[in-house]
Amino acid sequence: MKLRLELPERFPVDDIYAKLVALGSEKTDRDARQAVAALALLLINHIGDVDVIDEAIEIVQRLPSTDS
Amino acid sequence: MTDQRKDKQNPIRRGRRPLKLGNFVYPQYDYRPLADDEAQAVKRRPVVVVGAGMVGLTTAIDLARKGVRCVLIDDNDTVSAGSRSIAQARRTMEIWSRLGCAEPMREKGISWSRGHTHHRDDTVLSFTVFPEGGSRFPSFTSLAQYYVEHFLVERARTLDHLDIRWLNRLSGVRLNPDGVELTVETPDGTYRMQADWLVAADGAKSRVRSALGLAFEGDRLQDKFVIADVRCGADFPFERNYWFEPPFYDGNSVLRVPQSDSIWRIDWQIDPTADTDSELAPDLVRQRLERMLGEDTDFEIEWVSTYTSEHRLMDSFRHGRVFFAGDAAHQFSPFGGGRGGNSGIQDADNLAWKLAAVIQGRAAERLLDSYDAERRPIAERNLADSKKSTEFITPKSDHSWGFHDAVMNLAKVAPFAKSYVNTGRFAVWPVLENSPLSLPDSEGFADLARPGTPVLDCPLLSADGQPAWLADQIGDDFTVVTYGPTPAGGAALLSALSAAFPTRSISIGAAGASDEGHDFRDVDGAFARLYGAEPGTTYLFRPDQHVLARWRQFDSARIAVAVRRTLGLIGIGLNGIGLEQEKAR
Repeated sequence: MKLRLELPERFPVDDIYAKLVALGSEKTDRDARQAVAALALLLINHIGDVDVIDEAIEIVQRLPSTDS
Repeated sequence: MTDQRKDKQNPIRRGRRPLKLGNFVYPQYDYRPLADDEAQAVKRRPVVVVGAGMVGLTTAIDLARKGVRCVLIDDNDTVSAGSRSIAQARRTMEIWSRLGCAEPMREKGISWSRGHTHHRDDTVLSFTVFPEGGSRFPSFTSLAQYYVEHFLVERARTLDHLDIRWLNRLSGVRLNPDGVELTVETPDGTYRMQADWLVAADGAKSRVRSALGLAFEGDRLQDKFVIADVRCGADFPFERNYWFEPPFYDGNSVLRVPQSDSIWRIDWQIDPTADTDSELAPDLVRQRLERMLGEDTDFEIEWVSTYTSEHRLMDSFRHGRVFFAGDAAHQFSPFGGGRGGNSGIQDADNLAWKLAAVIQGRAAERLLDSYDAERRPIAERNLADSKKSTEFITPKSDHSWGFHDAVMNLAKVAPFAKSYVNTGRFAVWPVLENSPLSLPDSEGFADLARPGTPVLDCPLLSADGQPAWLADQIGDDFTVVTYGPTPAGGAALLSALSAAFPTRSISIGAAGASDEGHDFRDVDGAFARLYGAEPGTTYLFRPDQHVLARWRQFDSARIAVAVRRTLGLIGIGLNGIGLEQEKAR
């Protein structure tokens, strides 16, 4: 697997998490969805490695349903 | 069997009033009552083609040119109403050029190479469509389907082996192991006919397919569009424009594409729940067009209709002695980049030479299996690409809308996002990947002209200095193209091969080389670049102008094996060369 899943050192995870949540604040549902999608597209373009992106998508697809 | 009740409600008859749209007067082709002998006895025909649209006409013309007697039936007596399939791809024009009917289409058509995609008030993408290699045809010739069919009929009428029967509607089909029995309805009553082979080119609602109870799996999408041909005096540049959420229309999208005769194709998406008749109300259509074209623009509406996209594909394009081609076999969204009509013409191109070869006893019947093996994967790819474009244009979920919105707005600030803007990826060059007929490369070559690739046209100079095109030198026969002087042994090989199937040879000299010893000269090294040619490089083209095999040196034995293997004749014995000997080389 090429996708890195370990926690990087000195990474401000709480700050990042807060920023991600803030992306959707005071936005309509459609704008919030756009924000997350745009973030994904920007990062995917930056990564530029289809294998890594496919591995990430596979993990996301396997996440359990939140409705259950 | 077909829906007889529907047929009774819609009896086939002659004497309908010809339509006139703008400059184009719809031709009314003559219905001919059956000859007495045909009316009294069931005749057997080598090939019957059902459907005189672009695909059926192309198939029938190609067969007839090759000397195969062919009956073409159609339930109408004129050409298609409205512009419909307008983007005639370069490869399609090359096929029609081989059939001898591209010139009037090129003269009548127009071309465009620039396109723009807009989101609200911003232009998010501008692009230029360049043809691959050098060709006398642009990437797309914009020409309405009614013109295309008109020119095809004109060509068909010059062919003695082609019997076109207008106002002949298929009402029944029965498939037998050795042929097909047809029931055909005419204004004078019903008759029966037998065919050795049947080509169903009768469109998405194929009667042949229905009559044989064959599935056409897929989806009908909810999205609805109004489509209009508008004659317009405005001085718009000849460019394709696609708007999302345009300031001049409340719906999601609008497309504007130029055609000949100052006509513009304009499509606009409507609410999927909207009443179609209301959306076609003349006042509403005119009001919407006034906003789209500008209130000061004079225009006339030539034709207006609605459509809903469907994505469908048959499990197999061959069922016994019946072949399905064009929309009868596969249906894509019009936003696939002009893949519908163009891929149907490629179907015809692929099928006709094989069918002719088998009928004329030059090939084993198993050659016909390669039609499905070669064409269905291309249809699958077209279908997949068409679905991607359709999803971008008309997102089907809130989640999908999120990405659509993100791409449109990112494209205004981040160049990479422009590549995600997908208003229809234009039809890719139809390479027959993994064809069972192609011989894999055994020597080093670049991918560009790999086996399965249609001819990459390029300019040549004839031995007497006249400009020529490579594509004109290839096709109908197997063609051996050598880079450098005609090799020793070439004439003997061609003579031997031609006993089984017409085969010819051309030699191309390097740009700047002397004219001696070759038939043509490369111009500016275009041939050498496209084909990775070095002295001795040899290409073998199929009758449909696709590369069958290539080698670094001319080798009579390999060429002979390749031709005979393609025709399914290995083992019959020609000059004592067989597959086993080829493997041992």
